[in-house]
Amino acid sequence: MIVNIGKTVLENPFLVSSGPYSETIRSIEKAFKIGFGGVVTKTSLLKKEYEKIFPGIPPSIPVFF
Amino acid sequence: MRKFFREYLPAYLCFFKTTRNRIYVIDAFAPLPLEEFIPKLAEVRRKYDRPIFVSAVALKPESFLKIGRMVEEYDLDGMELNFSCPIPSLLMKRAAGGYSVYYNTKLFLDSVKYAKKNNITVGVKIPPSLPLSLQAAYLAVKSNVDFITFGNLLAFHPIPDNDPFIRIIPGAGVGGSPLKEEILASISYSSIIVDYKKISIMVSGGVLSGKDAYHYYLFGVRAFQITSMLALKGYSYFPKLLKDFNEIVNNREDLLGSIYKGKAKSVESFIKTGKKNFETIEIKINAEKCTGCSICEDICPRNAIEIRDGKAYILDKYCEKCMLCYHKCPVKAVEVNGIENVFLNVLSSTEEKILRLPVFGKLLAKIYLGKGVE
Repeated sequence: MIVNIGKTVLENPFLVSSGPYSETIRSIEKAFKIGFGGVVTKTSLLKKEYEKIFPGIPPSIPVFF
Repeated sequence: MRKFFREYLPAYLCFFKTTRNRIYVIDAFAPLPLEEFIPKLAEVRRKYDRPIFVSAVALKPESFLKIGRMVEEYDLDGMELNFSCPIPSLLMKRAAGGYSVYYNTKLFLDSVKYAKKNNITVGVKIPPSLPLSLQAAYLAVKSNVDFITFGNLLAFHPIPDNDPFIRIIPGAGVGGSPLKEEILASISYSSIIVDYKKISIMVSGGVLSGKDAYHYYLFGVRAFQITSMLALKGYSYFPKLLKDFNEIVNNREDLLGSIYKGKAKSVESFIKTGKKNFETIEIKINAEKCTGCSICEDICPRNAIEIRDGKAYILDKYCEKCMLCYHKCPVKAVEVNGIENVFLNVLSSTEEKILRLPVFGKLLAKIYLGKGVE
């Protein structure tokens, strides 16, 4: 089943939702390899605003889940 | 302890712990800033040629615009404004994510306006609780977003006790609160409106199997965002989920009898909600389009549809406006009027809740909702 979201065509209607499985490039690649139609990335924000909201907390990205 | 929650907890991106066969997921907020994340995403987008939507929060509409421009520049597929994230630190700073579009009305409306003006594909993720989700959906539809994601949902049928399931920690991106079945009303009604507007509806959460996806599909949802299933069953389950879903969609009849013959709990609660707020809706069958296939008669939980002379006929006395017939009709012969009033009804019935909002936001919302955004 093919779906349209905005201008984009999805091969199938299943996406990885924004969360731990769309946080790293590795997990996103894995989702594509297994056949997900798309990915919504982990919610993020601009660097400047990050520093305002989480002062002094370094962003860290785990490699494995 | 407070320091832990305020400073260290967000630094963990995610943390899985299994206790007594139950999986707990903490998905706290500490992302890679978008300036670094987006270029990396663009590489994957090119390599696999699969769509990537960027979920974002921001403090100002200008920041959303900047993010949107980056998304376009790097050939990604769109931006999802996350107005569903309940993280307190965002709430306090009055960024998007304050659990409600309503709470950040101006930020939301301006951000969408800027994005549309610059031809950026934009969607909004809205929170799972009523009436907030209806309010948010209304604003989203009115401002012509490209897609709406009903966020942070959980499986809407009870999960058996002996099943390991995912516990949601407040603030987790996997799901904010247990899904109340009435949320289906919000999804269903929104999807009717957006049918006319080419807005796509997605859900995030609650899809653990192909059958779950089909439940949502029945209510007009066309794309499904998945996390819980991955945590519970792993990536390897995905091909089966996809296969199951395709099979169910292709043989619709299989589920017609088993799920919706007046048995489904979700439909029952859905109708209960509907009765209170949704009286202004009028449903008619367009006799010219109706083929008398009797799918609607078969599916109606209140037996409110009869086939007379080869055409469907709605018995107003029994109809509770659950809209299943609308969503199921293969030729779109079911016509619905007055849906917008539902949103307005819900809004006025929650006046006291709106009063808690900052004065400016409230005023703005009233102006927009009173006259419409279009």
